[in-house]
Amino acid sequence: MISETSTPEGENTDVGFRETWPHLLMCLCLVLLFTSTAVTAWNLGLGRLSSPAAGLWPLLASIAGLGLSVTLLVTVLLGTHDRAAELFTDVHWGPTVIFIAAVLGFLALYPLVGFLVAAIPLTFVLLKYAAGATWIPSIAISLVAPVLLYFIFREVLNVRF
Amino acid sequence: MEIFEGILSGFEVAFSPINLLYVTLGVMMGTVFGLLPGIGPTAAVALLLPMTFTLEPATGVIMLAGIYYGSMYGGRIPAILMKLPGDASSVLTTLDGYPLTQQGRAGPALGITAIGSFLGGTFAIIGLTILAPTLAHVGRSFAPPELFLLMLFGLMMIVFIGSGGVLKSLIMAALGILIATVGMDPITGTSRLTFGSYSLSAGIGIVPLAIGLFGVGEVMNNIARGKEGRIKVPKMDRIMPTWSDWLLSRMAILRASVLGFIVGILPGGGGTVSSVLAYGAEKQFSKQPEKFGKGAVDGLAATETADNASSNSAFVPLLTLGVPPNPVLALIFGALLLQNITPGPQLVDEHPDVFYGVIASMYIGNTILLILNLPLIRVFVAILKVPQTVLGPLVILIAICGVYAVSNSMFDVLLMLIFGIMGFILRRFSFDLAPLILGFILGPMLEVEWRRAMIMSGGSAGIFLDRTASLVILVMLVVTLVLIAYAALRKRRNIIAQVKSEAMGE
Repeated sequence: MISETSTPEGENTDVGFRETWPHLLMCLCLVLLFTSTAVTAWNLGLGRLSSPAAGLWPLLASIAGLGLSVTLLVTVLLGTHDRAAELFTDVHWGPTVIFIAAVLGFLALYPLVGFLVAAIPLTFVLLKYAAGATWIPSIAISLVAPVLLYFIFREVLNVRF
Repeated sequence: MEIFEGILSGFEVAFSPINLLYVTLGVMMGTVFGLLPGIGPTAAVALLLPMTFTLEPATGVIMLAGIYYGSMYGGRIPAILMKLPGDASSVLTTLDGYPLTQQGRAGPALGITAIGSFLGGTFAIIGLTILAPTLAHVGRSFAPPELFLLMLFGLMMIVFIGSGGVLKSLIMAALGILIATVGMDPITGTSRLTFGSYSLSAGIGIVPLAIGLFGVGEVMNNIARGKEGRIKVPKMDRIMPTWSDWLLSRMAILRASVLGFIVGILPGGGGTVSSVLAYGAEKQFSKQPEKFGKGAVDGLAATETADNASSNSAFVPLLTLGVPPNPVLALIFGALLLQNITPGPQLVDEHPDVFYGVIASMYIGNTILLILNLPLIRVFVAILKVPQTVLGPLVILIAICGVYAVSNSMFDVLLMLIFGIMGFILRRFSFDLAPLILGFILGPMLEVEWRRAMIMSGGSAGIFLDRTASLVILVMLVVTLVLIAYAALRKRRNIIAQVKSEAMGE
């Protein structure tokens, strides 16, 4: 529980939890991931050591990952984990979300209009809204760069876009 | 005699016009990509990897090697001029490189870096020429138990020397091994961990994974930080170091060449470790150790020479034992696998053109690096003036084209984005990504050799103890693990002490 009290102890607990919960969440995600792969690997069948089946190796890797993730979780709970991580304090979320959305938009557009037409708005959005370039360079580069890359990959490297 | 004949035939391969062209292109492109802030050698090789797939195997690896040492040098330019290290090993470069720039000696600093890199690299290649065929001969006697333990040892060393803490690095290695199991089981052909996705049944490729983690993840990181658009680049007058610079550096270069060569052969001992050791050693040897960190030319010469010597000697375990000692060579390993060539003890017999061609091309590539870099330093510096806001989106566009070019599949581009987001998040939590990529590359081979060893022994783990060679490697592995545990315990004790002292203070 996050403490809402205004006493010094309450503030310390609050700050401590605020610093710790991202690490806890990360550990839980890892535990969940390795557990799900362990279960899937188990269901694939393990065979015997003399003739291992398809699931044995992924199960071993999952168990190793799971054990290590649980150990990391324990270090976080004990407060002895590496606290040097920069986390997300300096992240500008707007440009980051625009970046991801632009690439997803490109992937959605590509089957409809092909590489060249989809790459122009992608480059423009990345330059203007994610990277914060000014209008004229954004327009100029988003028209020139995709054409240049299209030429290099299509004509020189024989890639079929 | 065999080595002499081999290297002569290697020079025939390397001196072919097409290979000369591609090694020059590789060095130039590597230098330009290495210049981009945040894009270290791993990201540079990952981003340019797809361009080599349409080439002949020898040409492809020759180009990748050129990209590798080109990007190593390229990363030095922003480190020296603007205290902007592109990767971990160039952090050491900033220690004396940037103070030299502040003293108006940026040109000689870049000059001594180029010359030291050339001399260290050439020394390492001579060592590689002599040592590699012999080591490959030894490696040919290794059976599955030894190969399994050798790869495991390589992976553990990366974890041990990694920058993200032992526990987190081990988790990354396990994750890498697990990602590599997605797709068909290599022996039975059963679909594994595909979660019903048809697109995943062919497995996850090295290209979307590497470009996603190292290229897209880094660009995302820069965008998220909202970096400054334009960088101020200092002016440069002369490039060549003075005679007194040379006198001061010559022994440092010699010592660092030997040290870099030895460290580079060890798994995990690439650039950063060799630079740190060479810097520390040179400080001991120096008559003016107080100058270190304030613009010592010999300090800079030592780090740069050791760095390039270790990058070149790192090819020894890759070409002879099939164990990539660092993430960049893991990518080159992946590129060779995609060309149906498995690096390892058999490489010298099965593909002598690749084996000796790559070694010979390294002599040429290092020379080209020196010839190009000294006169072109001003051109490369001018590239740094391009605003970073423009570079990030261009890198993404190149990444999309590169990933698509390998498989003609937009699903791989989606995977690249997913791995990019994953890399961005993991880096924020101080997870080192090098063990992940090493785990991914070594995972399938670890599995195959382990299964072969188990089949050989009828399921008995005693096979690892029965054979002398595997027992020796096992002892080395156990000693390493004990050291890992000791280092981790010591670090943990320090953290506990720190937490306690903080609590006492409050």
